[in-house]
Amino acid sequence: MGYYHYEVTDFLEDQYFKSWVLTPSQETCDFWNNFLLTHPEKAETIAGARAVLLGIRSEMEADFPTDGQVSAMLDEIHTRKSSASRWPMRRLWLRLGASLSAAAVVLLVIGWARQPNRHDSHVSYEELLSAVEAPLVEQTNTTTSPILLTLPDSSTIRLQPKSSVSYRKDFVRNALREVYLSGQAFFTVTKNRHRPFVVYSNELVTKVLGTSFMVKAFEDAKQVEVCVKTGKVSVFPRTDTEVCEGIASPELAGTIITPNQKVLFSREQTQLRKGLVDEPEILASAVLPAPLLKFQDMPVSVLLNNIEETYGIDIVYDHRLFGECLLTASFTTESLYEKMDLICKGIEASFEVIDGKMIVTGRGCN
Amino acid sequence: MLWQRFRQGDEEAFTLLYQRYVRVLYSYGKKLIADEAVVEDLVQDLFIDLWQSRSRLADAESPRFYLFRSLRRRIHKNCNGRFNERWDLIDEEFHPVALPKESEIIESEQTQKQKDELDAWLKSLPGRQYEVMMLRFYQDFSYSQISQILTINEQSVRNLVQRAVSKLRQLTISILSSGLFLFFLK
Repeated sequence: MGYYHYEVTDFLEDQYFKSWVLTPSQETCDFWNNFLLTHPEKAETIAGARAVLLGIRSEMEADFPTDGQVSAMLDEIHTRKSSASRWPMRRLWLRLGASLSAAAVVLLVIGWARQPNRHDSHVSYEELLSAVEAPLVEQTNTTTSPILLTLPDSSTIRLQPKSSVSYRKDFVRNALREVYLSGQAFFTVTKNRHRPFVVYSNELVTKVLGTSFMVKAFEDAKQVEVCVKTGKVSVFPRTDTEVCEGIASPELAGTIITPNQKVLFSREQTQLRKGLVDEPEILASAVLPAPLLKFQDMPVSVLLNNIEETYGIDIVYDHRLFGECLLTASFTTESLYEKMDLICKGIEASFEVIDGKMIVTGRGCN
Repeated sequence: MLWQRFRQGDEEAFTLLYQRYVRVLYSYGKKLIADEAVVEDLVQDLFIDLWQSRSRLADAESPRFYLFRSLRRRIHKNCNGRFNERWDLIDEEFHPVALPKESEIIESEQTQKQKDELDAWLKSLPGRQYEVMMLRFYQDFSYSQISQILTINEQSVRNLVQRAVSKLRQLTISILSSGLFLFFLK
């Protein structure tokens, strides 16, 4: 063995050396003690390398969570992963193809029945503020370009011209992080499951745990708009008392929107409608696959599946008609809509956006 | 094996994966973010997301590498600009290596004290250098894997290790005279 000319880094890289330091056995101890006796000039180097390995290990272990923490976290993971399993849901959705329309009717009826009292009409920013008892901090953008504000919890607000936000002076100590908005703003919220972040704008309430999203709620506009860039956002009318009661809990109730989706709230009809944002973007996510850019004789189902995953949207189509169609093409900088146009041209189909989903229809290619 | 069982939706395999990696992941997160509640959340989100996207995960990938890379990205995303301030843009000169005074060490006969000096060296390493040392020599990731976790190129990873080790060399020379090397001959 050439250990006599090793430097610190060489020892650190050496598996046999490492196994002696971190998990010593009789055999490795004998070997290295013997080596040190015959090469005392390496003692310094070995001492250094050994100290590094042991030091890093003890540093890491010092920050290990307690057993209590480990099991508490696991419990929460189990509850949350089963309550938010959207992928199995979607597969079911596709399989049910035929009974779709029936389901839609049921949903419509439920939606209608759940609608709050209609005569309970407009709520203004001023009215919202007057209902708050604690002293408030208010910021108004009177310039002609957006301004960037930072909240005490490090969340940021990009406030558009002619818009105002207010929050309580004791923002940090309050159980909820509450912000009141008039106009348009983009929020980037730092994550804290224990203190939900809530935006009140006109009659609409938006609740998040940590994400980024835009709210557009001008006093004189007919509708309020919420678009999601990252994470998950829950939106509901102020009049939905059932949801409002659970506002401090980390559960997200009401209408949930995910990246690239938006919600339009009609102030006249106090009605929520889901849609897609004008220019959907590819999601930046650690676990999602890369978008397909070039493909040859690829089944359309694979391609649409990739688009669903990379944009985080749902595409509804008939697998029997389109699943086996083959496509050859390449994408460069096309937007989602342009990509869908190209695909649909290739399989002689058309698409439309309904309730935040893309619906592809046509005669198929058999 | 475990990974394949997990990908097929085996809850038990998922729990085993969690038990196996949660401690090191949490500890890694703690090194990058001080707030415990935030680290807990990020680690939980990581596993929830892992479960929900299990059917779309690649086969050959090492679970440990996969988890570390995802957690690092999450942390980066969650902290936006603030993260950079602390880790990426820190001028290394702000963290001078505190070399122990030689005379002090010769006087002390306790190996504990010398161990403390080395701990102090570790703690004084700039964040990135420490992170790379930890990933390479505690987690056994290859240089190419580390470069993917940190999204920097492989040569930069090697440079960071070299810089950390060269500081160590200065330190060991100064404490050698105290006979530190004897502590592992026991």
